[in-house]
Order: sequence, then structure tokens, then C-alpha cells
Amino acid sequence: MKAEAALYKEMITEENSPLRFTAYGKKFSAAIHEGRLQIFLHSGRKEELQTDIILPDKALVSGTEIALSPSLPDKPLSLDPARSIYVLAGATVSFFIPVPLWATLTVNGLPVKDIILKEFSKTWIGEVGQNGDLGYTHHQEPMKDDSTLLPDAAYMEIIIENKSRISFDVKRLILYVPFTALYKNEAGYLFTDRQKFTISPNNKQDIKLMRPASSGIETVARPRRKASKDYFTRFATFLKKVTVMS
Amino acid sequence: MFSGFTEFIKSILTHPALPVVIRSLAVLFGGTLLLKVITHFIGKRMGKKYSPQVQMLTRKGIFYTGIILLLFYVLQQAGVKMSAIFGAAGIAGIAIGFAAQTSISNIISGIFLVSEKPFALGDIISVEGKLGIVESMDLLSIKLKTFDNLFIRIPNTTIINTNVTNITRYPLRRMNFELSVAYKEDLSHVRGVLMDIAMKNPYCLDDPAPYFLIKEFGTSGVALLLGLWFEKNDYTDLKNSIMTEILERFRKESIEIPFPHISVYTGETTKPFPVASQKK
Repeated sequence: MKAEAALYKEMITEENSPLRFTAYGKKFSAAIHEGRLQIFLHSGRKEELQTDIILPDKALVSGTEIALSPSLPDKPLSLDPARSIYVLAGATVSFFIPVPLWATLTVNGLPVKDIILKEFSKTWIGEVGQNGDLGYTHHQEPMKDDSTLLPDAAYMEIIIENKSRISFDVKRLILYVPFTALYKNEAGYLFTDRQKFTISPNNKQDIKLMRPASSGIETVARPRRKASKDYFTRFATFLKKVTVMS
Repeated sequence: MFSGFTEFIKSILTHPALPVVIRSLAVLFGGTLLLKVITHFIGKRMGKKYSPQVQMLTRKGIFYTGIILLLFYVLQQAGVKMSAIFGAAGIAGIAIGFAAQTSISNIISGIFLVSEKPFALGDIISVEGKLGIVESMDLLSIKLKTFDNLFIRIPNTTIINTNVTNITRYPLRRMNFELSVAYKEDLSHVRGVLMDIAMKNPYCLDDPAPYFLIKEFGTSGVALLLGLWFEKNDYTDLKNSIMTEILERFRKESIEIPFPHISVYTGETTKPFPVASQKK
């Protein structure tokens, strides 16, 4: 997605209210009504109230700045590609996954809430009912390059390095979205950190998040969560369970 | 009168036991203060590693043991024979032991509960049909707050001796829906509809996948079981939404949920009982 379109900023007063605008391919409206600022997200015929804030008198006179900035979903994504990804022994594969964007609403520079632009269905990542984390199911096919303009998503580069002597099929892939920052590059495209899975010669698995390779990148949003030391170790073990060795 | 008062003060100040009293008071106050500092420091050191119950028990244990030792020291300084005290304490202990059997049993059960950790503060548990949130775990009992805002005190011995269900122990739960459909229905279609409802519901998890089971051929219809996994906090949302969705979708798809009914037949034939209306 082009970063220029990613940030929406507007001053709203009683005079220019209601304000209608489009961001991230979605229609929004903002209105000041009886001293309250109300922001709606429109989808089809439905309008969903996102926020309802009582404004101070000063803000009513001078106007209120509303801004939407891009953010990433708050839970890891469980990618279930229609076709599994086959990784040969000793080979390294890389591809891009578009990650749907959410938006952070700020009013007069203060973050108010996350606006969920894409609803996911929930899933469990880990052992049934015990160790693991809640996540979202993401149905998306891997892309070979990141040159296509996406209206409402950021690219995440996935690298799978198979140093072992066994080829395998990846049937499910976990994207650790809350632990990655969001960047924009010089061309204005949005990217997340790169996620690298390494399978060592002795079949040990490791997961790493790395800053995107392109130069001149700028951070748009910081990671939502900080992973504890054992978080990725735990999931590296889990990766073993969701890959089918052949 | 004034001279009498000064004499009294003088007698106190020159009393041979005064240094002992001052020393004892200093030991008591200083010792209590020191114990409070020590227990506070230990509480901080235990941090998040130990549960609040273990922290509370450790702190109280150290504090009261310290207080008893301080009292022994003070009594010894005052010239009280400790052997006599221990003898009296032994007799009193037997008497108190008989009188406080239940309480002591509760205290011991409380210690077992803390070490076993079947639940923690804030968990939702069910004990002997009583369902509530654990508000406190004390030496003698645990306190529950029910969802209709009742306060329940359950003695620790009851908890040890009975089955306790911890509903919020694991992050995920499975909600089982038992429903019945008419014999005329196509079961594979019913299964498809139920799975579709489950997959579209935002509170139902995709993985672990919904569970479908044809339970039995019941008296009025085919009994089915639909098991849906959900995050433990989504119980109410899932229950309300899925019940509505099943009912609406079954109506839309003309899937009949049978009510209990009995067919009555006459004689040897399988024809239903003949009923005729008569016009007057």
C-alpha cells in the first residue's frame, strides 16, 4: 500500500461537520453533534460507531484534529494457504504475504482506539487448550514479489531456510504480526519486519524477525507486543507439528 | 499531694526492674518493626514468582514466628521460667486442639490447597453446584462471589474433600450443543449447515475445529452434538450468538427441530389410530 494514502489527517469543526472521507479502501464519516465527536465506519448499508467523545469547549471553537494511521492486527495470523509450500532439502524459499491493515484513530494527537478494518475469525496457535496463543485465521496465497499495489495491506516477507536433509511441506504458517513494526520505504510502500524460519541440519527450528532489507525505510508503527525469550522457542517447536515432513 | 506524686515517679525511676522493662519494650517495638521490614522485603523478592496465597502465608508465618520468639525473649528477661510456660502451653494445646479441631483441619487443608494450587484468585470454580469467582483464599475458607452477586464461604476442608471444577484453568473451552433434528432431514446437509454457522461465528475458533457427532436415534428425532471451541472469555457472546444463528438458519433451511411426540396405533396394523370428526 502507498504510505501517502496511509495517513489520513483532517481538522473537523462544527462548520465542516459532517465530514466524509475514504481511507484504506473504507468509507468513514465524522460528525460533531451536541458537543460530541462521533466517527462512523461504513460498510455497505451498515454504519458502525467507532468512537463517541465529549469535546471540550475549546476544541469545539478551534476545531479537532482527527487522524487515522496504519497499524497491524493485534494477534498473530495463522496462514492456511490453499496449496502447501514445499521446501526442498538444503533450499531457501522466500515469498510475500499481504497483511491486512487496521487503523489507529488519534484525536488531537492522542490515540483513541484501533479501528478494525478487516475482521478475522479467531483460531488457536499451539497445543489444544494449553500452551499457545490466540490468533486469527488468514486466508491468503503467498506472492512472488511485492510490486503489486495493495489497497489495504502491508507486505510481510517470509524466508524459509531449510538446512536439513529432509524436504517438507508447510501446511500452516504463523505470522507474528504483533511483534513486528510497520515501515514505509522510499517508494511509499508499507512493509513489516521480515520473518525467517531456519531449520538447522540437526532439524532444530528457529524463528527470527528482521528489519526489511530495503534502504531508506521509516518506521510508521512500533510493534504492539514484545516477545518473551521463550515465545519463539515455543512456536518453533509448534512449527514442527504443523509441517509435514516428506 | 505533689510531693507524693514526685515520690511515686522517683520510685519508678529508681526501680531495679526499669532497665529490663525499657529493654523489653525496645526489643518488642524494634523487633516488630524489623519483622515488618523483613516480611515486606520478602514479599517484594517473591514478586510474581509465587501466588498471592503463598506470599501471604510466608509473610504471616515469618511475622508470627518472629513475634513469638520476641515474646519468649521478653518473658525470659522478666525472669519468667520458660519450662513452666511450655508445660502450661502443652496442656492448653491439648484443650485448644480438641476445641478447635475443625478450625485446625481447615488451616491444614488451606496449606494443602496453597501447595496443590487447584485454582487461583479470579478463577471461576464450581464446588458442590455453587459457581462463582474466587475472591479470596484464606486460612480457614475460600470466598466466592456468584454471578448473581452472592457471597459464598466454603471451608477449606470441603474444598479438599469434594470435586472442584476450575472452569477458567485453560485458555480454551468447548461448548457442547445438544440438539435434535427430525428423522426426515438429510444429516449431511444438517452437518454442513452447522459447520457453516460455526465457521462464520466470530467467537468460534477455527482451530481446534468444531466437533460434530450423531449421538443417537432418539424417540422424537436424531440427537446431534455440536462442540465449539472458544476463548474462555467469549462464553456469553458465543452462546447467545450461536443459539440465535442456529435457530434462524434452521428456519431458513426448513430444518425441523422436533418436539417430543408419541404416535398411537391400534391393533396389529401400523395404521394410526382412526379419528373422525362428527358434525352435529
